[in-house]
Amino acid sequence: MAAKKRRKKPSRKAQKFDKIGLASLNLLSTTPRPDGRGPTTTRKFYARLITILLQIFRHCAGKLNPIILNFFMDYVCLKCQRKLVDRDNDWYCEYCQISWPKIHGLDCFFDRDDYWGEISRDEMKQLLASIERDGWQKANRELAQKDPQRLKFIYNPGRADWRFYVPLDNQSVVLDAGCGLGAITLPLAEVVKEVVAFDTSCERARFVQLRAAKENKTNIQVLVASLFNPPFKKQSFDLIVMNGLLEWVGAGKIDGNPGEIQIEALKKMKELLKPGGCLYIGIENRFGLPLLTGRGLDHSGLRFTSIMPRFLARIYAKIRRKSDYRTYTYTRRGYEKLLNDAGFENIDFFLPWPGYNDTRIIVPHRNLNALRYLVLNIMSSNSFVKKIVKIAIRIPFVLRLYRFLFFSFGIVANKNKQ
Amino acid sequence: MIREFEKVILVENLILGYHGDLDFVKTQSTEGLKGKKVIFLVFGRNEKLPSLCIKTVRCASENFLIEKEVKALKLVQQKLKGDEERILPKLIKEGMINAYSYCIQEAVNGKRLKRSDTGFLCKILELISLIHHRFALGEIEIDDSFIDEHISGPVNNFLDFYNFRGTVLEGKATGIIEEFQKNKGLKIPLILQHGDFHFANIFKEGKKIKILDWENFAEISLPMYDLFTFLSSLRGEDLPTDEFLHLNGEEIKEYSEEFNIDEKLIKPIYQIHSILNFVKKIPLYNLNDFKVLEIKEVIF
Repeated sequence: MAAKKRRKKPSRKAQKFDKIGLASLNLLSTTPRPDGRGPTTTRKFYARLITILLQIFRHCAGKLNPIILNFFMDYVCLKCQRKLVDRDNDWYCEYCQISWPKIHGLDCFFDRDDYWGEISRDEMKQLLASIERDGWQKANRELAQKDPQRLKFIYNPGRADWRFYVPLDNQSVVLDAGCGLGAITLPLAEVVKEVVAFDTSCERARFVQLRAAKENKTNIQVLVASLFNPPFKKQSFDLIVMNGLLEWVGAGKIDGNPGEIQIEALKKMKELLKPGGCLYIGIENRFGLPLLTGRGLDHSGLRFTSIMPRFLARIYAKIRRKSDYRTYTYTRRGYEKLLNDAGFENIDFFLPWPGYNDTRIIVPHRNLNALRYLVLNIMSSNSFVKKIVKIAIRIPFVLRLYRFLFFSFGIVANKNKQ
Repeated sequence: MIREFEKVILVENLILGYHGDLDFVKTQSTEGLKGKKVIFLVFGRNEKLPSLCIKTVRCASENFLIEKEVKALKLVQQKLKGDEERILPKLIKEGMINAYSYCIQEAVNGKRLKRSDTGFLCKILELISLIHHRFALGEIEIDDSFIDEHISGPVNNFLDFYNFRGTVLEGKATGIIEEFQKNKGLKIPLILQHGDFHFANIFKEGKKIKILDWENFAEISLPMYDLFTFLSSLRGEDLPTDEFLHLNGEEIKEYSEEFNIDEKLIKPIYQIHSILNFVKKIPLYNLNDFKVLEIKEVIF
């Protein structure tokens, strides 16, 4: 009796192919021709070639996993909120038939020619040109020669250290509103799934884009957009960052009460947050000690405007600068009210020292013991005033007063879970 | 009193970003690594002093800093049996959360040493000697392989990194190598090195003196580095070699006699130390282009 021919068990490789749906391709090579003969050599060859190409693709896809699997945030139409279509040079709404351009690969959803920043526009343009022409090393050195503090301001990762206080993990999606030069965007990208960063200034957004490319951060999406009309669908983000932005919101619109505009912006941010999501705000205290003593300028560019009653500040600004006073800051209670009016809850305050833009130490607002420890043990006492403060801070009233006059706040507010 | 169990849960919450029943003061190291590491001091609600110190890093690529510190603390604790409590912060837990290393240490609540605390000088010099004695790894003869491995290699490495400052460093570097080549045949002891024995890393806690921040430690290193770091932090960092050696002559002599270090080697070792210090002081903006951390890996 002829020995029954055992069917060979498919190899591991073959099993793997089957898993990815290549059995159908094998059929291509084994399907008999109409006259009953086996498949041609050419057919076999092509089938084999396709198999190999698919294998290579699969291999590469594994390596490029983070890039391929990083689905970027979809854009929606600013008018009808429908999903936009990605075309070569623009984003297009098929329903409204409106398009938004891509400039240097940067998605632009804000048509106003807006610029702000600690570096002038011309300097910024020069810097961008220098980065693209000579590389980062030379550009940074040039910038450092002009002012080393600027570089510290741009590259200090400590500016995003409040992130340790908010619930983030590697699945979180974050919106950095008013991203500036990416000082917060990049450190955040280290810990979360995706950071979407936008700014109203094309140049600054471009800088962040170049910086992300240089640091090989594939999970950063940069665009130019307005805070009042960003191209995202509702409930998209786990965390929204407004670092040094809320005070400027009122100045972004010519009409209307700045306080109400701020509430409107906060409501917009709340819409974009997922249920239970978190909003972080870094901002000055209206009665911060440097503003109170006149050592620091208010956002209006004038001294003492923040501590004046609003109507007086407006008159003063009109006389001195011929412009309206629209950059409102508040006390802790004021921010609490503002956020409550916008519908946020569980509002936590932190005291960043020396300031929210150069944070070395963050103390929870409610823990006076920790604040006392900061003043007594961590702050330097190299001047007479500081020495006096160190002695006086032992008195509970002085400690509370010091907290009331603390320069800036880090605020974490939550959207309710329902 | 916080139970051990609760501490760990809270710490993990913190690293994930939540804060529970404890409050934190975040701080960061200001020396050397320019804040690559984040330190949390943990306060109970009614406690006036921090009870715990949590160290973590800002990005996963810096994990080695925490791992190095943990390794150093364990190693030194092992060797300093009986003395460890008065010298080291107690290591409570180490671990990883979301790809980030962290370690929890007992908080040291004493006061930082100041430049003016010269009364502690003798005590600290004794401490350096004690640590170095316990970690004496024997002597090594200065030969070609020693110069290649321990001197030329690292020197070239940081010259490569700082090529634009090469003009400043190059002369010094070749001088050091020549100096060692002249002294072939001499023996030099190898010891453990703290790596950042700055006066601000030394705390007075009652009668105890505690040494913090071990993340720059090197298990096998040239002698005198810690001594030089300490003395230069106390008596001026930018002194020219001869002036420095003259000013601190007494302490250096005592140390070199104790460890049988030939007088001829003191100067080149000091020069290596000053180059490394120079590298540390390169301003923040360069961190973006050059990785100082990689230089920290160089064993000296």
